[in-house]
Amino acid sequence: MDVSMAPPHIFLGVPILGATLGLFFRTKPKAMIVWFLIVTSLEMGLLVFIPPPMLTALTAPMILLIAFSACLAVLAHPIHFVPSSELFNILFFCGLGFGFLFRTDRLGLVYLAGIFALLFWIQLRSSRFSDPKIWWTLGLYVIGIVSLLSAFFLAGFNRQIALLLVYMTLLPLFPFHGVYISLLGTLPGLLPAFLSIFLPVLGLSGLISVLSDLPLEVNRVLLACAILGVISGSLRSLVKNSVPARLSQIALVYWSILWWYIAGPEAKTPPAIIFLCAAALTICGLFLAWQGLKSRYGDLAEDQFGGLASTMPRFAVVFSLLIAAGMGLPLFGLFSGFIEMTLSHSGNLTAGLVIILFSWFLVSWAFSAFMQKILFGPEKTNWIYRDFGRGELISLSLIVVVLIMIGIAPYRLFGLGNLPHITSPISDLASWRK
Amino acid sequence: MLAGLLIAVLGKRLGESVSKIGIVSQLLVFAISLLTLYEVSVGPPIQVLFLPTIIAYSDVLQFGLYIDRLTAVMMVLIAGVSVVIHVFSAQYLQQDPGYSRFYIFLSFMTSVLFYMVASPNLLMLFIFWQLLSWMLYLLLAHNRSHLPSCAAALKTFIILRIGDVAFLGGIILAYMLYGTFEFPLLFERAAAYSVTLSLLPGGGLAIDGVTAVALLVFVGAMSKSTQFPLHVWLPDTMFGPTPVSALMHAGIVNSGGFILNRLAPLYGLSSTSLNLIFGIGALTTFLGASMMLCQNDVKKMLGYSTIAQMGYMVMECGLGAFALAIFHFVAHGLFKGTLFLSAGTIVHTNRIDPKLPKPTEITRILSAPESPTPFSFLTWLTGIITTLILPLIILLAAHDVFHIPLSDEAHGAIIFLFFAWVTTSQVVLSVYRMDVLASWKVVCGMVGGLVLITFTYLYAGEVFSLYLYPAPGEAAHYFEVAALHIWLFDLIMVLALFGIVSVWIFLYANARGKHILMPIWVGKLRMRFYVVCINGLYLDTLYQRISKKILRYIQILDKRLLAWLP
Repeated sequence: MDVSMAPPHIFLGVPILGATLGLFFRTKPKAMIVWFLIVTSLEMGLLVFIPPPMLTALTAPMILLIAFSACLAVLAHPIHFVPSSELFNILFFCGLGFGFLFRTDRLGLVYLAGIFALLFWIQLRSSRFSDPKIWWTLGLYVIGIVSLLSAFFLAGFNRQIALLLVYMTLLPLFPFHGVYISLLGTLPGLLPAFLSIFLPVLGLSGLISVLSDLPLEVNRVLLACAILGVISGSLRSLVKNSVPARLSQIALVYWSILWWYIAGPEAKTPPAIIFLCAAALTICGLFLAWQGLKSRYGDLAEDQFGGLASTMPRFAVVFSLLIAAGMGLPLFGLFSGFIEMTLSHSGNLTAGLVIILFSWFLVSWAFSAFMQKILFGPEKTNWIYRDFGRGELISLSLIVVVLIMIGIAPYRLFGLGNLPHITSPISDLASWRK
Repeated sequence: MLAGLLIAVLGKRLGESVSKIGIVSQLLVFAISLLTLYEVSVGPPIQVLFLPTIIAYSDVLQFGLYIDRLTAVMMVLIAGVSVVIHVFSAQYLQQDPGYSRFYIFLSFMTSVLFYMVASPNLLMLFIFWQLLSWMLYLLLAHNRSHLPSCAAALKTFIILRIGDVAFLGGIILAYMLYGTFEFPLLFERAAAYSVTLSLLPGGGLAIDGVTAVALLVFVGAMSKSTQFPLHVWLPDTMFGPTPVSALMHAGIVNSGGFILNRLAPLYGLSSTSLNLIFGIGALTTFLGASMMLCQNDVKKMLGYSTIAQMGYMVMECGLGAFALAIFHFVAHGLFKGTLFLSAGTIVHTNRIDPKLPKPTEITRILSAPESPTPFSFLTWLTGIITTLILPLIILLAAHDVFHIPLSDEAHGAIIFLFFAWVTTSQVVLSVYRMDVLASWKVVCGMVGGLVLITFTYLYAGEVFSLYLYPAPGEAAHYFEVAALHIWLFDLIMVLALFGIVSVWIFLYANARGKHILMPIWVGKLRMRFYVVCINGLYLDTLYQRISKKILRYIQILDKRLLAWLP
């Protein structure tokens, strides 16, 4: 056996084997959660043993992020709920995702096809076909799968375009964002929290190799789509009254901002990765918090909550910190990533940047209104309140700590300093910026 | 910050004793601030770099402290006000369920203010500027189950966020144009390189780069310093705890003035932005003062008074009198903080005493016909002399008779005199309203006010200018850049003169029990203006309607037009 093949196989094998062995604990929920925690932690620990040529500065944070999000999802699982198939799915996704991240050749696409198939199956199981949105989403799945198959057989520019279409569904870009938004909005349990990180990570990892070879015209189209996504997401996030719907629209804004950056000239890899990690963790944290509330009080609209600041103080503290992170306040990672991206963006204060700044404000508005509805106001006298448990609290606190670390630590500490540009630099910058 | 963390950790165990941690730490900070003020007064500015450059936060930020005279003055003000508020809150918030939380936020807020004023670069300043918005939001929503408090906190945060985003746009543009955030380098490059930006494709609507940066940052300052039309958050924050109001009015609203001072060299390169700042400040002063006069709630009155005072402060910056603005807001911070802390007692007393007059009082009023207020000729003459004749002689003599040009240092003196005049008029009219005093006491009050204010503006103001901007010609340069057109200056003088004369005529006629013959439409207009002012210019209603309309259109877009799109 080729030694260089070993790491991907181990990474692919551990979660799938872990999921299979987890079946033995079906009747013991507590033991099952502990088992899944061991498996996901093992995934993170295994990173240390990967030889440097296999584990690049780009792959390492991506793998770590996926393993970390899986671990967080397991940790935040309410103990009073019997672990369902979602935890098994998370491990399967992990395995396939690691396979894709390690293999840049056609085998990587096979793993990606596996992910698409699993997503499609989960989507079909949880969808209501009376909702007109589902048809758009299913159409996007078809586009994704067809593009994936095409990429398998095509070469050159056509292959790049086919891959671009696939990655547009993973790292959501307007109007291909349906897959991501539907999964976050409709799936039950902790899967949305995990997928909110998992899909964009795969998308960006693939895109970095594709974007540098695209012609300028395609990049311009991507920029236009990104701006449309920013506008659509920020405006629609203001009027949503359902938590997953609001959060997924806000996520669309984040990913559109990331697209705007990476499709523009002179895009650097480190700021993109910093922003990706911060945005993904923020969204994941908020979905985990939402899952905690949902498991206690049911799938209620935002305005049916209220008064949680005084009745669930531990939840209120971590939740408000996550909201602060989501609004792009310092010293959280999202602020740093955003600042890095806007400052390393070339050119003047373009219309696109102005729109993005405006959307930044709208997202703040949406987040503060959201927080207001959940935390403040009089408490409900007929509710029985129960604050977050240890697992949930540790999970969310870890996210907050990591977000602060990303926010204040220089990216050289993460080994991202020497990564190449995503798109080529332009030459007319002022002399002091060179 | 350490005190805040300590209170957060020990809060539950210590209960209400946590206030002692806060008070002791603030006293310590106050002492250090005084020491720092002394240090920078006799020596060069203090610079501290927290992180070595090699591991600095990304490529663009050097996290550190820069303490010059401006920072030191601000630090003393913040620490002083903070000490008073910490001490006051210890009893004021007794038995409040959020006692420890309040002290945690108060300590954090103070440290955020400190870091903000000691920022060595634009990005660090912006970081703490944003944190200030967030801390203010949390403090205003202290009473978490009281919906109006929370709604006011949300409104405040959203409006402050408008300013934050504009500020962010300003610093991004500054970095794009000049490639740095560090203040000295930024000012140097802005002065050396002239950049013109076009707002429309094809080179249309050109604007100077410095002006664009200055104006974007100014929008940030407008939001915090309650400038029209972003002032609407302040009057609604009265639901918050009184110590928060005091801190807000004595410290936080001044941050706009601080930013303008910190970036004075940048504003000194753009006369357009200074003129616009002057205009907005003047408008805010006029509207804020008008709205204040119509209020019937003590705290709201104080709130609108702050808006007017902030308008003054910004107006002073717009005229190039940056140091005067600092002097103004230090004085304002002290007196407004005191007023807010004592406002609660007044409200409390009024709650004990029924507002309606007692039956004996009603009988007395009904039995005695309304008599005109006693008004002596001496009072009137003194008022006229102190507010009109004396200042006008000085001002007009300097400006029109001796033709002192508006482009040298004398122009600064004229501006100082102008503000002295307007302030004296305010004081004299306020003294006059205390008509229970004998007329000789009123006269003494008027003359004393004139002497004090003239001394303050002409001596203390000048000294303070030299203290904050010691470089030769620096303060004069700002006056020169901010110089208004001669006709505009004269117009403002005439308008101010017209206002003061009208008030005196009106007061005199009232005191004599006479009515001034005015066209009916003037009376109607006055009534309408009163109604508009008492309702805060209906700006809240307007904003609410606009936002509701926009949200309705977005809902239509979301539910009907884009129903098929996830």
